[in-house]
Amino acid sequence: MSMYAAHLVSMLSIYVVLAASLNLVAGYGGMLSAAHVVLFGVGAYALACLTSILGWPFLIALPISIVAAGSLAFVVGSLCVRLSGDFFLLATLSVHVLLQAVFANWIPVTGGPYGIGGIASPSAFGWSADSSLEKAFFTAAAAGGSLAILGRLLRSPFVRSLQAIRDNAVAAGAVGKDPLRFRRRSFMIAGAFAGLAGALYASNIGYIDPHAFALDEFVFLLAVVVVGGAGDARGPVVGTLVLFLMPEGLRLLPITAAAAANARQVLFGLLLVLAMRVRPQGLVGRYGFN
Amino acid sequence: MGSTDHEVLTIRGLSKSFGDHRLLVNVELACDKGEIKALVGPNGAGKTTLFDIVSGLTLADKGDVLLEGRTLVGLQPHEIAALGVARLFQDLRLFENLTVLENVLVALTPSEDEEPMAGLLCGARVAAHERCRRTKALDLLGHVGLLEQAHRFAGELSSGQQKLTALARTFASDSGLLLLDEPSTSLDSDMTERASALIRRAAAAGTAVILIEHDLTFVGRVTDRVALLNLGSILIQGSLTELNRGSLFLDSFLGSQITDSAPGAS
Repeated sequence: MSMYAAHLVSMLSIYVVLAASLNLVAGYGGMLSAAHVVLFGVGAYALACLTSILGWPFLIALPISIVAAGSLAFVVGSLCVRLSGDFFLLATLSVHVLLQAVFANWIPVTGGPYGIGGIASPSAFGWSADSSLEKAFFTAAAAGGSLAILGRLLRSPFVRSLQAIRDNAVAAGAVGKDPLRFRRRSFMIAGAFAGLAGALYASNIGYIDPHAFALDEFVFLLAVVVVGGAGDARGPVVGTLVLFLMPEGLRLLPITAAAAANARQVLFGLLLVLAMRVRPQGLVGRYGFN
Repeated sequence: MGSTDHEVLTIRGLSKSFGDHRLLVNVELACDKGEIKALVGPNGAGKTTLFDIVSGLTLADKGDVLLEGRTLVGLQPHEIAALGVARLFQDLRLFENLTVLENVLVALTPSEDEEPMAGLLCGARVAAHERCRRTKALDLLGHVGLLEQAHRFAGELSSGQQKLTALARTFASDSGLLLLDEPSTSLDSDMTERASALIRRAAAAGTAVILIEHDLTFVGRVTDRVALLNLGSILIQGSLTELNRGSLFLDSFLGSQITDSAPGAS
């Protein structure tokens, strides 16, 4: 497997986990959270700080990064889940802007616009993923484990009641479900998985800066979930494959890398609009996301 | 009005206004264990608002709502439901993207099986409970004639089938009090018979049932106990036969303004 292919496998694995976690809150919970990408960032920055600045081992830094993102998600969720629809989106968008400002300006911890380098590769018990291939195997295995856990959660009574709350919170309350409790918990779980994806991202790339967690990444992630099929366990996998592999085709065209990067953004925007207009249930889903 | 030992629901001096409009005025109502009581009255009389207050969706300005002696005032809707109050909404409020079976299963699932970690760490226990719930849910769907529709999405059903799904969901939990808002609307004669059988069966098992109805034929099928709500007040309570004799009942039910007779009405 070439370095390029190994890197692609790593990125696909990371984004599948990230998209699957957004799918839990947005697709199953009906909460379109613009803060998801910065929770991904919190996981990445936590791992970067702990391994690069404090020199902690990867195996200790990884669970702390997951807990950091999950805890922050719990706080953000507790503040935002009382809101719904556009108000929820606006509240989480303000969290995105706030944390982006922290990433860009808290220089002693995040390195500000210069970011953090020298982030530890995945390692455990004397083994270290030094090559791209080893990183790809580790990341794919972690993603596989995460999807197995999320898949089991999606088939559980917890998520069934979460879907009921998404469909009609008043009726769910009338059969004894506390909508705020379900929303808060799903937001926290999704945040923890976003943190895991962020930690895997930082350890794969070895360097992070605030641009990796900007709003256009949220648009990309939303396009992955919507095009794949929100509220369907297969949706994020299909969406990630389609949206990752389709722009790879741009490399085959006789255009510059800069033009291809711009074309990529246009393509994602178009796909998102097209999916919302023509097929809101996505490629494999049934729930019409709007 | 003093509450008795077998009184499941006691409503005392309940008032609610929206701006200058007095929707409920000093309402007194009670429902006993195993009793089916029909709440009738013209549109805008305040019947659904009364249900909204009992189920915690609207706060009363004054008065008290007691469930087996315990006040429900100030509780959240899910807390009231957990105490044993189930509700059929006039506009059904189904979980449209879940199947008919899942709609019933949501109502049947207790909170301990809904812990996110329960499914991961105690999978076998939760799976065993889930199998029991499925059996119970399918049995209930059999009673309302929806067994063949069990795996269809609720949003795809006809209006009558949706009403039966909502009824099955309401009857799924073992509630002490059922609040049914227009249970017979949209039902054909066969469905109406199934719905009335379900209501009678619940009452026979000791559940207190209050139903809002415009169809007096349906009311006559399930109960003889009627309370007439008009202009925000309970005007009369008694048996349907007795009340049908009085012109006051018919006048009120047809929506005539009987301002003089309505206590507290402005």
